[in-house]
Amino acid sequence: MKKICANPVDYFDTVNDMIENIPNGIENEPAISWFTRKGEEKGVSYGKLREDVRSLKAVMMKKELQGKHIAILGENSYEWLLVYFAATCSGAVAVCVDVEQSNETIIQMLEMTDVDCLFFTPSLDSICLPFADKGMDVFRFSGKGIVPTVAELLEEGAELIRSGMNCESKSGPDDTATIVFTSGTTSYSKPVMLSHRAILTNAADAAARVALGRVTFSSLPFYHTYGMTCSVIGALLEKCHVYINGNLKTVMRDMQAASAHSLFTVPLMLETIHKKMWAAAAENKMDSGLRKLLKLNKIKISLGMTNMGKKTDEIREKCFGSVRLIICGAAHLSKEIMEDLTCLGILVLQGYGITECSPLVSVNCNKANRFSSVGLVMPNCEISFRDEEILVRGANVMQGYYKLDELTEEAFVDGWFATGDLGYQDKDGFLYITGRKKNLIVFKNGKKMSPEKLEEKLGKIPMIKDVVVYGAVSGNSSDDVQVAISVFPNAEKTEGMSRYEILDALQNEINTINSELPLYQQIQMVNIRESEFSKTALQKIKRHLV
Amino acid sequence: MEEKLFQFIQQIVFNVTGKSGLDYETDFVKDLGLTSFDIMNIVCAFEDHFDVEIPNRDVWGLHQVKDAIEYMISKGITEV
Repeated sequence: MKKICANPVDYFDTVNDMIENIPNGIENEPAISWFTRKGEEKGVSYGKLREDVRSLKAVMMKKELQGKHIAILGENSYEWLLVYFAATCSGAVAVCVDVEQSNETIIQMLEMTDVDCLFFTPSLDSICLPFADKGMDVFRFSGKGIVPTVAELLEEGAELIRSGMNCESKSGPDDTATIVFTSGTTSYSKPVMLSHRAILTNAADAAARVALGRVTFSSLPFYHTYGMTCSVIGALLEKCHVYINGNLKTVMRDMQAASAHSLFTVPLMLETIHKKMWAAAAENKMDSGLRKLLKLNKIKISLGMTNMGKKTDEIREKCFGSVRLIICGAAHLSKEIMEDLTCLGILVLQGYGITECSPLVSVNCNKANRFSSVGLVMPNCEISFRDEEILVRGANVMQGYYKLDELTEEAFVDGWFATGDLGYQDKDGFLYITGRKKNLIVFKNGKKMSPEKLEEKLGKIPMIKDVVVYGAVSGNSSDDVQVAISVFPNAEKTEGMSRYEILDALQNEINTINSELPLYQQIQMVNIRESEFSKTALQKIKRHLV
Repeated sequence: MEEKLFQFIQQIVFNVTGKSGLDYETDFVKDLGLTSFDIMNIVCAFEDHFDVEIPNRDVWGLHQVKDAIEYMISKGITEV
């Protein structure tokens, strides 16, 4: 196994310990910053963050919310983070709700997690205010009138502290800190209970593995663990200055303005920037020049050179500002994009996580990165395999699904959490993901196939925007399966073409792919979709709806 | 009034994405092949022009050009 030097980082037992142990020396250093819609920069220092958490925590304790479920509904904001930290520090459970869901689903999520109190953004008034009519405590992140705001509660809390209120936290490492919903690519979203120890161990493990630099930028939604554990808590443990943004409208602008060294993101954003870079090069008739430059850089890298030259620096700064490190997760990033970014002088680290594991199971490190691997297993986590399926055990694993005992029982095998993902580990300890168990196509000949690999090949066909590969039942028996694909065409590349013409053109491409596959794996059926696939907040296709 | 709003939308979509040839039924994703980033850039241009903020949740309900026109009218935007 490869030995990895870990970055020095503190491990805490509870969120309250982490907040209260912010070192005095960094009190005046910037902790969280953001830009308003108009581009004005705002932010708080580590000292101010601790003071605000203490104030809001005091109000929550006065309202006797310890042990109660506090739902947080909103896009990324400082208020969102404050409520999360204050709730967990006060001994309450922070219920993180995915606000990209429909009104109906959000209400279902609130009901199934027995929420006692709501904090919400004004754009969710129509969902949340009716709960106030039913007598629930509801608070808004901002805005005037109707219900109290976070700013008002902060004033109230500061007064409570001045008057000497005892705000000692009663939360312990094994208490539930948060309930987070799975992103639901294979079935409905399940509420996952994570303890203080699980989140803080996982965040510290992440910080130990990846050195983010002084300033980091996160555009990941906080209501998923990848955003909260890795890009916020992990970064705060590294004493970084964290710029936050969760709004597609301003994410590019803010990333440039933040002058961050590292960026947390999902493949969609990198694909968009990459596409724009090549489109701009083509428009200026410089695409062949760019290709040559990247090729030359690849040679420089293989020779161990780090200086890519002025031209490369210019292109990188135009596309990514001062970012030199990208942590990309939640979905698979194509090798082509990873290679191009590397040749631009950016280190791209991929990881693998799952909500039930807080989420990080493995991640590549600054000094040990392998392109096609999702990295080395976290220090406080171990894995094993059952028929290629990855099993996980360790401090980061969930306590269970909230009030879903049967599902919780099914999720564990002899104390190991069964991820449902397939993979293998090489002799140096690097983990590779090969597919998802539930997506496996099982043929009559007993052979199995993961659709993801074929999807990656098909995804390179320009006239395909999105594609899902699945097994379609055929013949007389239900276990007779053929490979079928469902395609949502790229509107630009198929403009003016009839359905028949699209199918005809696609068939030629598919024939080429089929010629390289064993017979049973060849694509036999093609369906053209008229509407886009339904996707999760992290832009993954919801397979069960295909 | 609707015609004026239509022309305005056409102009903004062209300025931001370079796409033209819209009609009332044009679907931003299906027909123009826009990504969520493209759509948000268009929304940004709207917000800057009218000095308003459009919640992201509202944006996902606007599939076709006519939906955007109806939305603008419902928000009291009649002059461009």
